[in-house]
Amino acid sequence: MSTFCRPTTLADALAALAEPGSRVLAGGTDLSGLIDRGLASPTTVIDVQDAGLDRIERCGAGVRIGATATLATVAVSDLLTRWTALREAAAAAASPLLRNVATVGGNLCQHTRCWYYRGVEWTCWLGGGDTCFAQIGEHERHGLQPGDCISAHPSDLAPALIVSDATVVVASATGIREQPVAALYRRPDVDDRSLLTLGPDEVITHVVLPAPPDASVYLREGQREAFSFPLVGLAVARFGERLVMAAAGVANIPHLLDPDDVLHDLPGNPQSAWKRTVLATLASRGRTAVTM
Amino acid sequence: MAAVESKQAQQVFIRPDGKEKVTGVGRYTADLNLTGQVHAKFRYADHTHARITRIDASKARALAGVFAVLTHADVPEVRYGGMVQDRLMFAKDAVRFEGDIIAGVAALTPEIAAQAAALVEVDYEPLPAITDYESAMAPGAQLIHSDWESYGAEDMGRDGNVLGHSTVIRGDADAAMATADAVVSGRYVADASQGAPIEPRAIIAQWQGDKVTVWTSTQVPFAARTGVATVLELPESHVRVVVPLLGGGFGSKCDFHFEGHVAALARAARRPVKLVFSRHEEFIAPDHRREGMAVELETGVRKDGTIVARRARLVIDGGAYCGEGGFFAQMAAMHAIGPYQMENVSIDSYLVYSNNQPSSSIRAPTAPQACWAVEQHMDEVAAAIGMDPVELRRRTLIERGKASATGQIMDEIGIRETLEAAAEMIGYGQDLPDDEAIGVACGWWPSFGVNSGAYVKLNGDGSGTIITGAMESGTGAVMGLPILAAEVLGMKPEDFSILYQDTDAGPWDMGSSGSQTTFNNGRAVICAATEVREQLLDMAEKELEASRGDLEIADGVVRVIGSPDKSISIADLAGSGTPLLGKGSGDVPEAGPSDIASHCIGDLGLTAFLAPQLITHAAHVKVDRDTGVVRVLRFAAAHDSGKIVNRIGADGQVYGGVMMGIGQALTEGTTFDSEGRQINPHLLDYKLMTASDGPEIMIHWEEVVTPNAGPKGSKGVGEPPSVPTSGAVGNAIAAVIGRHVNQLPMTAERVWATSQENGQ
Amino acid sequence: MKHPITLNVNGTPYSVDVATAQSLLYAVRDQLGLTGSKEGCDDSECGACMMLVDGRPTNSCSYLAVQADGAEITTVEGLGEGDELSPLQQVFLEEGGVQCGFCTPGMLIAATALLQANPSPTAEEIRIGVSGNLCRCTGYDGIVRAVLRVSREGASV
Repeated sequence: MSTFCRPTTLADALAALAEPGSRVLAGGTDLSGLIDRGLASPTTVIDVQDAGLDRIERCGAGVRIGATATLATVAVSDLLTRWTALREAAAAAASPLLRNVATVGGNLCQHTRCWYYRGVEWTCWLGGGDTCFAQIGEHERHGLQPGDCISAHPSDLAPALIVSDATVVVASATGIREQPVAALYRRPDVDDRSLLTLGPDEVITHVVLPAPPDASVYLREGQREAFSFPLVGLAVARFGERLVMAAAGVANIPHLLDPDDVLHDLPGNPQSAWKRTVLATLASRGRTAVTM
Repeated sequence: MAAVESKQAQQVFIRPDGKEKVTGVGRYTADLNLTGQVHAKFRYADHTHARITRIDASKARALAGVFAVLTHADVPEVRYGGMVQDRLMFAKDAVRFEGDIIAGVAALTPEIAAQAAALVEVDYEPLPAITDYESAMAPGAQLIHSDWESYGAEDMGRDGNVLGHSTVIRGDADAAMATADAVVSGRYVADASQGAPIEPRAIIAQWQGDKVTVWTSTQVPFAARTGVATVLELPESHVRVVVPLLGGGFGSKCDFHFEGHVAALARAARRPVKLVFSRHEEFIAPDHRREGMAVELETGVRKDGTIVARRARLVIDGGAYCGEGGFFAQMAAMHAIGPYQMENVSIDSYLVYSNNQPSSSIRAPTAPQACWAVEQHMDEVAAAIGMDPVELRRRTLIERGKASATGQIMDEIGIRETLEAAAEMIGYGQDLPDDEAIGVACGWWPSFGVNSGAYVKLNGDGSGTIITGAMESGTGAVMGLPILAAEVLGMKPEDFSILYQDTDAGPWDMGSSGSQTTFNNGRAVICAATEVREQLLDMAEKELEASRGDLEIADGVVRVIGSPDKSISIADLAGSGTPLLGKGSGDVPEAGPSDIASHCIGDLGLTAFLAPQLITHAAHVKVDRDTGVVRVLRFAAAHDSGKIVNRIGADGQVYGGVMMGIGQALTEGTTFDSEGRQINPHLLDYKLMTASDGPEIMIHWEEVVTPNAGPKGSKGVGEPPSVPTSGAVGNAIAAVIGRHVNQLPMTAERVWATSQENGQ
Repeated sequence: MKHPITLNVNGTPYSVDVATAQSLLYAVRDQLGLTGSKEGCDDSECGACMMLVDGRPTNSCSYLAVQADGAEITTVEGLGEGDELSPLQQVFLEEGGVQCGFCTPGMLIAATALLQANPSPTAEEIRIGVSGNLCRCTGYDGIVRAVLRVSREGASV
């Protein structure tokens, strides 16, 4: 049985997180499901909603977003009007109701929606087993990048933040570090199947946006009009002549694309021709949208 | 996007169960808890096809907090099933799909029950699994039921893995095909889909002496009662089935399932036992899905649009057990013909066993898939002779008074009118951007005439109670019964309460299936109310000293026509102490005869449709050519369901049915892995349509007052709204991309892939 | 380990002990006996469990009870005034927004929250607003019409 605490300062939260087996909970929309399915069994759940991390504030030429700010807040924040891709990504994620609860930090750190990982009936490679069942079955929802695990990255926010050159501030009881959003993620290997670079005692406290791009856009295809995870979610930003593109849904972590050859590194398999087409189509539309 | 015209202008009838539903005080089965209750969990099969060599439940039984563990050895060995007795409650020698139940556990908490279920030890010898159901018919294919010949079964043309074979043969299709100006052939494959009601199944059973009461979320309480009585070898009088509010069914909650398991567990545990399904269980449970189907069609047509011949071969995935599926082969064959005039027909339709989840009566079983195939095929036939698809239908749909392809004379039908109405509502023929188009599809579905019963009684204050065996799954059919009783008795619908969904109270009824509630139970209620009316008139004759012919009942009184002061209120008559109780079932109407070749195998009486319901749907879609993403923008639904008794209820069936049909058209597909396990048994990857996906839906009722039908000339309503929906959407997609998508659902990926083929 | 918490549900404070993993949905259903909120999927996919938590519509199946300690919670049982239905509840019935009723509690909560945030939504905004709530019966048409009507008639929710 696990314990629960809701610290009111970051310092208290970090102290609690230093204890082995503890896990951070923000909105809880992902963690409560993981606990239900036995994919997580923390000894202590640390609710950081009262830790003062929910503000969105100006920061130099950019903006600093607290990790517990909700997606709904990000989608409508006046401070973020010039980060179109980020606002659009926040507004596209999950359902309007989940966006009221789901947080920026939680969205970045959520586990993949791959059913072979989430399902209670089997243990897949990513969950510590031997087989990536996704490589045997249907591929519409899976990644295009070859590897031991072809689950698809589910965060809409991650690509939007990556193309905005955003950084994350990561804190633990022993210190604070700041790194590009892309550096939050790692491709899993046999010895370490984690998709995140966060240490067990670390938590994201903020996301920092530098000066905004000249133009940006977020385009996605889900399985239906609303309330679906991105099959492909593509963020495009333009800084002067420089184009930056990143996508969710195409690899097991957010994937930085070569704007001149977006399918590079993403061969997929015979079943995923459609997903590659969608990515290429969205990239072409995104390029047009930010250069018009 | 919504049609915003308020329904206020129409008669506002507030459903009697409405207040408890909007306030949250209404109780569904999972909301009930009984003192001392314990919780049930099932141990499911570990293979989709295997021989069982050993079952040992001793470790499960030894776990603290476990009250009962049951396997096949602990219950009577009774084979059961509506048409084919191919099931046992608990698997004994073999498992045949992933949802087969090995053992049931009752324990103090659901968690302990799950732990104990996992402790049941089972040894297997795996057998090859057949998930590609068409291969189940191949010579030498692994038999799903090796002892199929020993089952009790109706004669449906069974043979090994073939569970049913039905034919429709008329004229000489081969000879006629040779006279055609064009012959068009095509193959279409529909994936399975799910009923997916929002309420998962729940069951509670409690014994009192030798009698068990089962509260259950079923659409068919009397079938559930018979089922429990059969498998536990009890008289039906010892089984009472009560259905609290039911959270939707769509056919998933038809037939008898699980009530026997829970009753047996409660008897063994000596405690009330409660079972609540997870969403995953809801997905894998038997008979919760619509059958997959492969349809091959060939049609010969003349340049003027005359269909000279139709050949078809259909293979339907029945899954591991028959369930209600026995009539599917014949029903699908009827949809391979459709509501068209044709003289030469040769249809072979097969229902086969596989190691997939058993399929059953999901809203208009077999029709949406077969209709989707046929209606896309019809557009291809039109293209082959260079004729507009609506014009082809205009020339070939059955004319009033003419014969169907099975030789049934169709006297009072409005199929051609529905075509014109749908075309007009959608604006067929208008100029559209080149990524948009309109598709049209027609279909049919029978009404089902079966026995059904009701009592009507009047209370001392003049209010009334309808006691019915009918089942309210949400459609409002039972909720509308007071309208019918009130009309007969000169009362107001609000004057009646309804006692329903209790097998100890109401007379037998088939349940909420086959669009039959208003059609059959409506007649029963009218009949029962008419008996009460006669009783009232008898009493009033004496009280008013008037002859019967001079009396009328209206506005809550019996009065002498023309002498308003000579009257007596129904309340005064009812308060006199004389019991005022009527019963009724009404005569069951029968379909007119068909005249097709008598050598049909598996004739289950569906070659003629009783009070056929006729439908034309038209969809206006937009297709993203680059990605294949389809959006349905506008939708027109024109239905001939005879006279409409309750407009708001009937409209609700169309709105809901069309959205279900659009889901089936675009996103809803159950996929099985190579062993027959579902790979998307959850709402995360099995996508129902949301409000955001919904188009503007326009409705037209072609109110053909139908003889030999339901109350006031009505027909069924509930199932047809999903029948031609995916066909209309498919034809619209094809009109944009230039080619028909031959797999259902027509996902973005499939639409894109089809348009790529076209480009090559 | 159990945590003593206070849930203020429909204006009434309740002191309960809950395990860490206990969802808000089951705390309210099992411990408070308020069964109006339903479980349809236990995975935030269907919305039948929706409650207002400090005014925010929340899928209570995927929200821990301990997270809601001290919060003001509204369930479907708290929407009306005594025996009076709220305008939205009444109009749901009149416009055919209710059939089987299983999604209705969550749908009413979502619609109530939507109208509180945006008293004059367009049909499109309503459809987006309730897109996290699945309904299999009504095709959503009666629901959208009901919300539009309440908004037009200016009744307070």
